[in-house]
Amino acid sequence: MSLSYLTPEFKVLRDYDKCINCKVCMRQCSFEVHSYDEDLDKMVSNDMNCVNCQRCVLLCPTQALTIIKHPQTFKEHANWTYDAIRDIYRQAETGGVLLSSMGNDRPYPVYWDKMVINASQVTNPSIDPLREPMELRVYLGRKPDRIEIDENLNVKTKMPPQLKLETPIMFSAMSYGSISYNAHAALARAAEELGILYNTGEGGLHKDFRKYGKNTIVQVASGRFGVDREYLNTAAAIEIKIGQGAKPGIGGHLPGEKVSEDISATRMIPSGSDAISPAPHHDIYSIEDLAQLIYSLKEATDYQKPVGVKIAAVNNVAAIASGIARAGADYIAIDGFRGGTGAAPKRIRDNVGIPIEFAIAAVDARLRSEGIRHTVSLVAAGSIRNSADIVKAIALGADAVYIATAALIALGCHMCQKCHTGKCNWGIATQDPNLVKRLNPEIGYKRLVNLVQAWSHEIKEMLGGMGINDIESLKGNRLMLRGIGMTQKELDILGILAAGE
Amino acid sequence: MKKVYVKEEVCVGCRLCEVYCITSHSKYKDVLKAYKLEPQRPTPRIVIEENRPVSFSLQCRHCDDAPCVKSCITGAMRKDPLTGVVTCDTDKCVGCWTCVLVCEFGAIIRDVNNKVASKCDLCAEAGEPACVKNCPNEALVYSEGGISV
Amino acid sequence: MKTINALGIYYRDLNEIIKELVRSGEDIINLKNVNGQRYIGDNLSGTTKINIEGTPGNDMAAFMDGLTIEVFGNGQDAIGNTMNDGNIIIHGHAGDVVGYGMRGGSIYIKDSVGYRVGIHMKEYKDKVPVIVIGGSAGDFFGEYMAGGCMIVLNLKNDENIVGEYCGTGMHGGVIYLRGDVEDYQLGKEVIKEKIDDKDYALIQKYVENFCQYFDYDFQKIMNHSFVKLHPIGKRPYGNMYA
Repeated sequence: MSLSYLTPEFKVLRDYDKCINCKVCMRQCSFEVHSYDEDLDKMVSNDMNCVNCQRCVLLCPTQALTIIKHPQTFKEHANWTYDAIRDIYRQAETGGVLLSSMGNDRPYPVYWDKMVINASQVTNPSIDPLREPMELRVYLGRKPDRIEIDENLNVKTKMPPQLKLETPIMFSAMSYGSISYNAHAALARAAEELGILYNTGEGGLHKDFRKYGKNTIVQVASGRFGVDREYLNTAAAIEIKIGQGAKPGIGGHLPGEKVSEDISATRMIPSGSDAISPAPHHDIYSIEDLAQLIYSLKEATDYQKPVGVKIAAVNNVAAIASGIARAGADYIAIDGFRGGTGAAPKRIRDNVGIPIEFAIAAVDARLRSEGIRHTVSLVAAGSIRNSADIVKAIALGADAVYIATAALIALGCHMCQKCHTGKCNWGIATQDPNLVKRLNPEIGYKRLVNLVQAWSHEIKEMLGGMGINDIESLKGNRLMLRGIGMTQKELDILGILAAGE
Repeated sequence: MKKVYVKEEVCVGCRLCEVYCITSHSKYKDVLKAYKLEPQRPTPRIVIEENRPVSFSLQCRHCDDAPCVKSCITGAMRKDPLTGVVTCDTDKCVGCWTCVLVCEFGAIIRDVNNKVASKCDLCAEAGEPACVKNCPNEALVYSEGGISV
Repeated sequence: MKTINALGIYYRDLNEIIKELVRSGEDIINLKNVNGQRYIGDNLSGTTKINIEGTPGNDMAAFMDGLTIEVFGNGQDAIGNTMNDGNIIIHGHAGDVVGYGMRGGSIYIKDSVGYRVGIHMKEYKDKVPVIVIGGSAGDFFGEYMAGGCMIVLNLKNDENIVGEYCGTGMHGGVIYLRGDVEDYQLGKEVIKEKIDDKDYALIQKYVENFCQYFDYDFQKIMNHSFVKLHPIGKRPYGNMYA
């Protein structure tokens, strides 16, 4: 076997004064980094395998471990960076397409951090969220062109089906297969308790979670995994997945090692085989075909449930969204290029797609100018990291946001970006029963509830600060934002003014 | 009476319960010192059962009609009439291991260093069992009526 | 038994009528003068038989879970899209994308089908979908197949029994062709083999049904050589990623 040119990415620092040889680190590392050497009578580490998931660091009873970036560097080069060189070594060694997980980690500008939010001073008094009512509830779905009211002030117009959210946050699509059963259990329970929805992703709906149907959005993706009558009938809404932000334009791939017996039963494919989702839906080659599928699903559910479409944010997303709205979708979920994934080719993840900030602003502006903004709800996704991002997303035009990476981090994810190996030490992105146990759904769902409740309160504080007491008043309200350090063109596309203007 | 119950579906097999059981019965009561300074580290008082992916820790069940109490030849094994906790008085214990043989759960361990029986005492001094307090995944529960409480 | 004249009825109204009848347990529904109404049989389950005279629109029997539909004429595109159970009989041609993501049930087509038929068909244990085609099929037949069984009989002896890229991305399931196919027509994930006794018995079972529906001579059809196409492995792209 010839020499590998890859040095370890991380280094395990073990303080031997503190190490008590309890071997908890060895038992807990699925990447087999730590082992006990009998002859030397000490714990030793194989740095090459370490991915910096920090499981051992957190479980060590004496805090004896620290993981650092391996000090081995290349000569400094602004162009041929550490990553650029190593990627070539890996491809030269394997001949394979580089896979990675979670979202785009390249240093593209983060536009959320270039926008600031307004607050009221004097002319429009702020509202105190702790003592006055604040409305965060939103309804997603097609709204009629006009409403007719009868003499008792009741709405006469028949409303198209709506989804009620107690707060404008939903859990985005993560398939059962890319994440574990326990992770889904935590998401489903948290969605129920919070009065929001979670998305099954394209892996089907496990029968144990059918009881959470009222809080479930089911996805119909190109692989059509798990799509049967019960799936469609149990759900609160159906989402057609055309694309996702992490890998626009290409299909999905769940490696055979993650297709356990249970996954095989839920997806209806042979155990151990790769689960492939083709790139386009092969029955959708035009916008008319999309309309056909949307209506076939509405027909299947007696027009009682909203049918949405999820697309990746790409060039011309505004025109695409306009077409989708006219094709009959009740909501459009737009996934920006920072969106996470269980596995995607690294180059596609890092280079394809556009930021959600621009996508939402462009789609909202285009739909308004065409007079059809009320016919769809918009859901923004693709790296919503905190409540300020949510406020900015809604101000740019979204009705609600989808969070996924943030939810997984709440469950214990440490962003080691190795989900595609199926060895997640936190029990999230794995099907190995030894590892799945580590995610206790009782603990997990409470953490998710805590996160969303905390964010909801922060949103109320920011709204109150702006003098607004209803999230609907923030929707598309570009005047509440100002840009800092952006070019005029960027400000124009986002439709906001520069700070000071 | 309150006992320790296990949710085996979330036990991750880390054995931190064992580490903290040893620590709480050590002289120094501090993990680092218990492991580094004490030449004769205490024997743990719990048994870890493992058959991957199943794992769980097994503690003395503090039986109502404890066979170990009945079979103890020196009277070292005693069930406290008030608290219900079954403890082993190591001063009286002669290390005959009859209790080890007789326990239906296999929850008693032979402390071969001190030649006495080693058994869970629900950390009576501390007030809350160390294993329950330190389980990183809430797999151990200290309650009256079982796991669901 | 209920007969409905579908002439000029909007598809949404027609489907509502059909749904009501199926839900109330109607045993047979005859639809006359059907002319392109879509989504007939969409997500319906039960034991009703629907007879269609005319040409149904696209996505007939999409998501269907039970029911038998017999079309006395040609079908259009996307028949049996993500179908879960039931039986479809078409006395004519069918269009493109038949049985996309099909998971169970059966489709029998007397004549030929278009392209992209049987894409990503799935199966699980004893739930195996089947498509039997009396004529020939177009390109991308059985693309991404993950399960299920398709049989092409080419009874009119068309020049090509299937088009190109047959079985590309196949990682489960099986295709039987009554005739032969050139290697260049097959996806690189497929291997072509002779059939054995078990295969023969399976083909017999479905061809018997075919002959019953379309009044063909069983012996004449079976007295011919068949080839079997199946995937090389479960993980056709296992080595592609690093």
